[in-house]
Amino acid sequence: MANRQPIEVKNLDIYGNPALEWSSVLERLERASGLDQPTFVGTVSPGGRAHIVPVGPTWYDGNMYFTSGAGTLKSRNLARNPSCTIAGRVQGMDLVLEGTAAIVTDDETLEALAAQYREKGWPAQVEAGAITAPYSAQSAGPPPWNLYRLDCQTAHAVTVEEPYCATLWRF
Amino acid sequence: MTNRQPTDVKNLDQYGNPPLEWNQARALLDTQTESDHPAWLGTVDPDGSPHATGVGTCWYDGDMYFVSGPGTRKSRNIAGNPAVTIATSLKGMDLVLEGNASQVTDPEILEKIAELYRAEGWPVKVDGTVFTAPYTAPSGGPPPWNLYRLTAHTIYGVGGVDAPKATRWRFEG
Repeated sequence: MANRQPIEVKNLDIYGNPALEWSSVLERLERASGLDQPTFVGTVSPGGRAHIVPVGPTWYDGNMYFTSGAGTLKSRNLARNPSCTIAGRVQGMDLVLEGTAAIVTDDETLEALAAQYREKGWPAQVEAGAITAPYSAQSAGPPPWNLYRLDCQTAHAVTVEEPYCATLWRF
Repeated sequence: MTNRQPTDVKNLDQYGNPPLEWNQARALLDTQTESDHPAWLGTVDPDGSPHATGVGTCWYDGDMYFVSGPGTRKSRNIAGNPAVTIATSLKGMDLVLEGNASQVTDPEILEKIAELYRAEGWPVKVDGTVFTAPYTAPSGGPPPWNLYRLTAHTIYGVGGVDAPKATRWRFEG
């Protein structure tokens, strides 16, 4: 959603502070190319139970991306219910993105993300429509890992330093 | 869950590291305060979509507590489906707790948790079976707020770069 702008902004603050600017969120995400570690991806398991796991997401060209092994619970959850949340802290702001996640298989995006992962120190390569590397997080399961893009429908942010603001955006 | 010990331990690490010790996770929960780390509450909307929000948590006597205004989306979600998650990053370990959340109305527990929040700088008072204070987080909605307890049936721990381990603990009762 390169340069996608919110269609609705709601100031959630009840103490007279102004709404946050969406551009200030984008600036933080671009500066950090993602969220500070750890960031948590939330999915819903069969039976309607909430499931959440730490991931290392990456912000690229206006979208949040993350990798997940095909056999993991979050991948299996997303296969039947693509609704997903990504929550993390970035530069004094707690940010939650809500939307649907889909597997990305186009080589151009995969290569761009793999290059970004390599810059961050993870030796990722593209292979057969997925990401592979000699290692990953200790509980990530074996390679390859699918690349997911979150199509963000709602974002909300709360600042954890002054001025204390809270805002919701819809896209 | 005072001193509750896991009934099942699974090493999730795939690179030959030993499991994390539950007592080590518990010691971090017992000693680190809420202001040290962000915590995220996950609930499920009526349509089956996940919902996540930052919360101010409080670990007391082996259970995780959090407050939520009765009109908020997370409270409405919990009323319809009590299955929740709390994800938090402590110094040295990321933890995910899964279980059911229920509202606490026991005056003794309410007073105890209010005392812990006050020790962290939030001037909260017990008013009947709910909490009230002059202010809360900017998006916390107006007082009063309910107190909820998460009784975890499963906890995941993932160590940091200096301790690359990952473990799942299950609890009964």
